[in-house]
Amino acid sequence: MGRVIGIDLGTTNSCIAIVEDGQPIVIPNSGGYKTMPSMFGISQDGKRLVGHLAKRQAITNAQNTVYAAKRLIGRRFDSTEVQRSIELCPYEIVQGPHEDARIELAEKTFTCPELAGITLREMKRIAEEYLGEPVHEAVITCPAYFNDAQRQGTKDAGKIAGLEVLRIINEPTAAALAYGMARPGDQRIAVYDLGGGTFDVSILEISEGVIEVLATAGNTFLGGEDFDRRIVAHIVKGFEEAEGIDLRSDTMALQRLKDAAEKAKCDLSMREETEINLPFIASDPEGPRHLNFELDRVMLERLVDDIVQGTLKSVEQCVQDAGLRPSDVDQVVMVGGQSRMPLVQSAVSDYFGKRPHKGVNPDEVVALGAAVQGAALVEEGQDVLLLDVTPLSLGISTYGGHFARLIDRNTTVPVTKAHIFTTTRDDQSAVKIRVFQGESDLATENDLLGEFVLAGIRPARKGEPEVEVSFDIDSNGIVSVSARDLATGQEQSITVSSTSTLSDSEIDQMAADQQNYEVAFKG
Amino acid sequence: MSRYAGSAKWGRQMLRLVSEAKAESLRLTAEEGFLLSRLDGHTPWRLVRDIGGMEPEEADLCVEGWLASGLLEVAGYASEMAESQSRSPSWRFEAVDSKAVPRTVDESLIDSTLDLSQEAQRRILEFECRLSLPPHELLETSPKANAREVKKAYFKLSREFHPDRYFRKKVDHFGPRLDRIFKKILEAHEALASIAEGDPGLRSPSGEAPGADSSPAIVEPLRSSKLEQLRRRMPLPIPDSIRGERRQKAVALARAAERSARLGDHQEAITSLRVAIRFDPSEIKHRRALVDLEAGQALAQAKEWMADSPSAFSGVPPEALGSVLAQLEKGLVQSQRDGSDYFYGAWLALKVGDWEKSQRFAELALEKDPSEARYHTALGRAHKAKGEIGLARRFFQQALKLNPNEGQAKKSLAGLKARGIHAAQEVCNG
Repeated sequence: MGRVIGIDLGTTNSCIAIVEDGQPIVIPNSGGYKTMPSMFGISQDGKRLVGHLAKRQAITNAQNTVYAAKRLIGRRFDSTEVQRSIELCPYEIVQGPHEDARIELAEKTFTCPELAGITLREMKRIAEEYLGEPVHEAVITCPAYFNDAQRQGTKDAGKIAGLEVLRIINEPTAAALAYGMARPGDQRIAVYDLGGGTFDVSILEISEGVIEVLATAGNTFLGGEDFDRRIVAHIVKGFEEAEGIDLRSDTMALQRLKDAAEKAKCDLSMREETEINLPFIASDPEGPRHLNFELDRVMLERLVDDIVQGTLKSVEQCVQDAGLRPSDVDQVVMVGGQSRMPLVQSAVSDYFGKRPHKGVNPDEVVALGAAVQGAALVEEGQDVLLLDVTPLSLGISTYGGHFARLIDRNTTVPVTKAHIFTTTRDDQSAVKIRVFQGESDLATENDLLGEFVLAGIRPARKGEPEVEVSFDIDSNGIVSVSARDLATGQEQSITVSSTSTLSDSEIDQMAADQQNYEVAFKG
Repeated sequence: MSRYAGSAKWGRQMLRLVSEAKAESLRLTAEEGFLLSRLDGHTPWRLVRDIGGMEPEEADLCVEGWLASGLLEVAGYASEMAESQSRSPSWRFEAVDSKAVPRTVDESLIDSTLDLSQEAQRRILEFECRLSLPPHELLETSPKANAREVKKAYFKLSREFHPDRYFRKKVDHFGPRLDRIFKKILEAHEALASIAEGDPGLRSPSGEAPGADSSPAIVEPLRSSKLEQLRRRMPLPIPDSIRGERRQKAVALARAAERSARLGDHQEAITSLRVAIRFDPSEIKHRRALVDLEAGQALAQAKEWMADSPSAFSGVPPEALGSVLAQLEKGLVQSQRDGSDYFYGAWLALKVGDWEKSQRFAELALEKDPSEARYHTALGRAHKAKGEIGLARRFFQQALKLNPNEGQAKKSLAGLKARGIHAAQEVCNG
């Protein structure tokens, strides 16, 4: 049997790891890079470019280069998140046939799982090159706040890349696995994960190889890119005031600015001030214009302070959910490139009253944890056990549109929970069970996972029939729901694991497509 | 989830009323009465606690209180086998509560071709027999174990039985067994952890008073409801965390009800409030709001009936009249309302045949507004129904004086006259 790789499929960068001789290590690509940009582009001459190659040409080919597609995966086209991305992204986002968001590049339409699949296939290739043997199985990470559709999209991406996805685990949990596996004793740790595009915080308890998630909070639409965007907006405004030229409609200039802003931001983590130099950024009848801008740490911190404070609200929520106080946390682990920022570091250490742990590389620790979980599942003699939790509450809609929770979020799986429901009309002969996932008390504000009807209820006054609705989540995260009429023993059930927007044949088609391209590459 | 749900033995007990118990002498709420009526001595508590008119945790409390006060007794224990295999009502009885003696392992189930050592297989089968034990016995901890010890035990058993430990292994029928065992371990841990959480000393060894910020239930109003009294007697209360959460849900629902009521959707509002009360039965405010809403609803119904047919209420089934009257009455008792509400009450009572009540309501209506002719008519009708003809006539005349067009009074007066003549003739004939 082949080895299981761990993949951190990030919004901006991705990383792969594997466990060798009991130790998780990151697999570098042939250029020595340990992480790879999650980017894909189609060049002017129709070549498909992935990772670093895609990033390198992004400036000159912004419309045909996708970044941050992870933000769109598993989301409906009409959702506010997608609509916001349409405004922000230089590439074209269109509506797919299943109301999903798709991306148009060089006149071809790609689904989001397909784009993620392209990144995953590249990671698979790098791993195979390194190991010298084929790789078929992976554990992939996703933000803790991903819902069922987003997780399913990630699984589909794995399939498209030709990988069997053994598990999807949460990024902060993976970080805790990598951190905790080598450390004996009991600890409560907080993982603060501020990546390129998402923010998660989790509190976990570790004891002799067993890891339990106590609480999770976060925001799938907040990350380092929001920092970059603040800087870009600041510079664009300054440039407009100084030169009278508006750069907002110039995609190429914006792409250059975005890169420069990201670099300046990273610089300012080490230095107090930096300079942004972009010659020939624009031109008007008077000739070419150059952008020369000085940015210092104080200014940067002023620009993004409210974002950082916003993350602390989630942290506070999480600590409360775990039933702890900040001082009960023994160790703070910082994950994600953006967590390197001194302002973020100081805000977090102020909150917990202790300095974050220094021993992990925030870009790599998530992939390492995914590899640890992969090995724990399939290899002998592993003494690591993850008590994983369900990320969002599950329940059904009841009379008046209320959401009746049967399984609360952060409940350890596998688990079964049941509750008795009844009818709302006299002589009602059937009940419709609509299964929702989410945290709102109004059912319609949550995500509908599936529905079914239990018929054949004996005529009775409202409130008398008893229907037992039971939810079950198995250890692979597959949810099944059943409803049983206690009077007749009549039963109906569904499995609501596959709310995939893509059919199996579509996925197979995409997988085959990609394989063709891979062959074409090599040939 | 309460500790009881985790304790299979608690769930398996079959309760019945002690034969000499005088249940009538207890002041029970409708929900408590309903619950008591379901205890037949051969249905396991696990099934009853879920179907009563109250939340399972409260039902647990009630039953524990009744058991403690000697009102109930345990008739026996349903067998775990029957429950897990078929859950059909054909329960097997165990004569005495045998401390769930570990049954001997069925050696034929052990299969040497599996990816599981024979010892591991035996351990799984043995442990499976223990699933009906109370949480702390299942977790192999002492009943006094603190949160940390409970967690240790839970982790240790998880390491042994979590299905992930056997991922892709050939385990055959042991797969579902492991699944079942782990879920039980999880339940037991949840039950014990929620108890430990109520004891702040266990969770934070570092000293300073914790919880003051997170526990809104520390300052309780002085009002002591029946539920509260029960609770005080209980050695192990519902954890504050659960209570707080339910209270919050109830408040949210009550707010939703307010909104619905404002938008005119009374049925919706009533449903929301009913659910709110189930979540927080001790909150008087929700109950009051429900009574008010129901009274309003009843009033609307009464008005509709009266407008529908000139002969007022004819064709409405008496049960419907009765229930509408009861709802209206509750509202009238609870809060001051205006005269017309009492007026409708008087009519309803009259149609139901409760003349005394009808008279009282009409009098109350008149107290509010003595110048309203209709109220005099209503009072007259009540007296007429009671056979107090003289009084009735006086009120009808009064009504006509206030409003010469008051049709009901005119008609009633005419009826009285006819009846008076009829009676006089009878006397003559006699």
